[in-house]
Amino acid sequence: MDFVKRRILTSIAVFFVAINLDFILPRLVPGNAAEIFAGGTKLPSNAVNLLEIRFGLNQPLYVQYYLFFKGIFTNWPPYFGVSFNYYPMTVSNLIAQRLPWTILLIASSFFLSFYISYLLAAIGSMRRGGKFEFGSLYTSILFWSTPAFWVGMILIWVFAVYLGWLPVFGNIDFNPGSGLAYVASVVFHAVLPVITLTAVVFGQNYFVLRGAAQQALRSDYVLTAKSRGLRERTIAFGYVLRNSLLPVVSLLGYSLASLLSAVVLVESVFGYTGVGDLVVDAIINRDYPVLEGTFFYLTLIVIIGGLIGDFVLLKLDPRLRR
Amino acid sequence: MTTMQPSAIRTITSKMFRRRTARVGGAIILAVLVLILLGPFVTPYAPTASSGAADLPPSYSHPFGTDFQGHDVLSQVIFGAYPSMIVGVLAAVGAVATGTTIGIMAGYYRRMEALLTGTADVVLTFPPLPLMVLLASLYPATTQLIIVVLILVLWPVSARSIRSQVLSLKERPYVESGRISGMGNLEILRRVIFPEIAPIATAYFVLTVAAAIVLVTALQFLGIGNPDVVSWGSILYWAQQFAFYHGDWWWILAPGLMITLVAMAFALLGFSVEEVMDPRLRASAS
Amino acid sequence: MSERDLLKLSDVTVEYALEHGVRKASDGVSLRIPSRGFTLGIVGESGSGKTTLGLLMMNLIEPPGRITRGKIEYQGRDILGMNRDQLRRYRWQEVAMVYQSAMNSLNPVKSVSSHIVEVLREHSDISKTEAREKAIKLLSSVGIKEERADAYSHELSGGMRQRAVIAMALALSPKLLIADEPTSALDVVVQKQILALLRKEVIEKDLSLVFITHEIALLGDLVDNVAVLFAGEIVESGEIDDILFDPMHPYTESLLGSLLSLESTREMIQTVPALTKEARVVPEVGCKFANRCRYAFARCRVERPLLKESSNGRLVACHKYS
Repeated sequence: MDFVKRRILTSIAVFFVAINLDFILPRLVPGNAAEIFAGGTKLPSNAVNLLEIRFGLNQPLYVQYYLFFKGIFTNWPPYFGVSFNYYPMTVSNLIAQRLPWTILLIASSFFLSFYISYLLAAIGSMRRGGKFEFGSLYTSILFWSTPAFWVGMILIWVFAVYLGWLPVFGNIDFNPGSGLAYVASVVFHAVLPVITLTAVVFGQNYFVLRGAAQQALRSDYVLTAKSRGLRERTIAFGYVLRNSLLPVVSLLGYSLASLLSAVVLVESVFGYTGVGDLVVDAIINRDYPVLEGTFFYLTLIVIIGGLIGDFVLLKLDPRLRR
Repeated sequence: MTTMQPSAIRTITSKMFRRRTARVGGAIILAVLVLILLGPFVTPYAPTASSGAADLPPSYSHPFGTDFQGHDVLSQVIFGAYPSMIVGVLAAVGAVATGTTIGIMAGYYRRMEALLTGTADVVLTFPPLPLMVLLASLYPATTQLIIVVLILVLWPVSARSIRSQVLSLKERPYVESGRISGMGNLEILRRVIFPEIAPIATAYFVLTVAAAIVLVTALQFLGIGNPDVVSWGSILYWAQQFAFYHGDWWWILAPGLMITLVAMAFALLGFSVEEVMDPRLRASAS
Repeated sequence: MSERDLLKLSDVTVEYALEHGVRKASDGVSLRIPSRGFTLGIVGESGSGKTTLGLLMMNLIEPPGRITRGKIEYQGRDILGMNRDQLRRYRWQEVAMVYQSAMNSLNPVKSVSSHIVEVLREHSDISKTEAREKAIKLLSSVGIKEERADAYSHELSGGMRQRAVIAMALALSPKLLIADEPTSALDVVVQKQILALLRKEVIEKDLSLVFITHEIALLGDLVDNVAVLFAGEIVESGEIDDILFDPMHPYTESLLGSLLSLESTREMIQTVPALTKEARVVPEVGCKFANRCRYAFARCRVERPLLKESSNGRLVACHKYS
């Protein structure tokens, strides 16, 4: 219980600091949205001023700060204002539109890569040493080193442009139809991005899992398990993997952070309109509210992921339940 | 145990290169270095000059073909090596130096621990790329800015690991005895703690170079920094917009292959350091 | 009944391939456990190869260790030639082991009772409920009450852990029990309890016992026979009373001579001659104990003494007696 309390408190503290940074960072960017909105055109200065007032940019910083927090904590969903770029859409609506798509990508690739890592680690544990182990280690280092956006581009080339099996970009077709056709459209468009993301995440996760599994394989309790005449399968799953999961799970939050990072690139390459794409968009256009909103949700996902990881860890590791 | 800094690194390097992983990695890096240094003198074409017809597939005169403007892709890759790698290396130096320092301080001085660890956790909560893109847009994106941004994002990883190492080292009897025999904190740090964490800091350094190179190319790909300066990422920036329509797959393949090779080489090196430190991690039962 | 020994090691040599060279953990070791109920103590200092002997008996030598010579036979069957299934049935059903560090030999994420349940179910077709009942009964027979049966290894005291490990070893009613320094990590009071427990089980179940230790004093009430191990070789073996009161090999002499009793005077205390750097080196040629032996003469440095039966029926490896 002590562990849980500590973790929750830390997470809240970290999240609070992160929210503050969410406020500060966008405002460090030079030039404000109003100026950009006006573009290079020679709008009279009072027109620019009007825009600034409309966007609330003329208010003193502490007022903006107050409004910012008020928006988040007194509304559900948290209110971040209206997007400068997609005026007059509210930030929440904008994000709500795009978030499910991103979550689709993230969830699919996360579980896929986890499953694959687990299987590979299991097989590797049952055959001591040998080419399989060697090969899977090098493969994971290879995937770790490969830039996500490049993998995406190569996949697009091979499967979309050259073979024409899968669509080149976007979330869905223009006229997806309904029911099964709709689902099929979604799936087809999601396949390549998910594969790309899975490769990236696999590189990271497998590394940790394998390291832990190697350590476990050489440990005393595995040797004694062998001495008890237990089957290889039992030892691989119940002893080696079960204990190797622990460090992986404890890193859940950080895994999510790098997954979200990769999603930005992948969405960009595939023209996939999700939250990642929105972030880059917002940065280029100095769209503060959207930036605040997206960073808020990004860090929220990471923190919740971390907490879930800790919760699972608590269930898995009896040593934490003191 | 005392002042073994120089020999510790020497032992690690000698042990490291007995392993195949390190040799492969080292060979690749060496090859790339040769490419960077000698390449510009060897290639007959300038990367930005139109040296052939547009959209030529790989051939003897253009091993990686030409892009949509007739520029030789191989030259672009050669000239693009330096900008892509130098930033990565410098950023890694900064990040690991910072991370190690902070990690040691966090592990050794209990008063600072909460603050430093908390800061590291906050930084780690932000997905690196969006954060970097945001920070990089603060000012005109010069190389220096990009290096600073990379350092800001990468330091916590090594810091956390070093901190936990230092924490466990602190408990060891020989630290206690050092303190009893009158060694001041700085001396303990220098003579006992530093040699012990040098291996892991080295491993992190090499791995951070790999990560940094991949991140830098991602930034270049997104158009941050000047896309007109030839770098692996910027080649792909242009390729993404035009290669598909022109059918120039070689244009996409070459720079990405280089990035992967180089990053993998550093990753292999870093991993082999870890293998040396913990023989249990080795792949084959040797 | 045939004259086959229960367990027989013939001239077994184990080599470990380390970074700085090859090291022999066992050098031409021959041992016999003739029948059930035969109790043997193996005494040696650390590094003498004690644990290797225990592992050998279960064919658990793993790389970088290799058995380079010799045969190990259980009831006439060659253990080293067994395939995986045969080994699985051999281990724990015929021979079981109690380890020095119970903490390290148990899976940290499994409860103590589930270890026993697992062993029972992996070796026979028994239902979960039946297995659990048996496990609880076993645990209570070694003194662990039912309420504590589901505890994890980190929640138990050292003594309890050791009892649990003993219960686990007896789960399949093996014919031979190997105890590798089961009490080294325990305080003297608990040590006595554990030894009493072992003695009780051995007598009740007519077990053969191989008790490995560095403290020869523990063996007096526990075993009938002793083998003294030095640098991977058996240097003396025979019945315990004979060896304790009339040691023949110089090493055994110094082992016993260094024991204190309330009645010893300062002059009576003997020690093994100082372990100087030279003395610690095990000579390549000749008797391995020569550097530390007060009786060493010319022949000792040239010719390695073989384990031979001496005039009074004891087995000794020393040139003094040939």
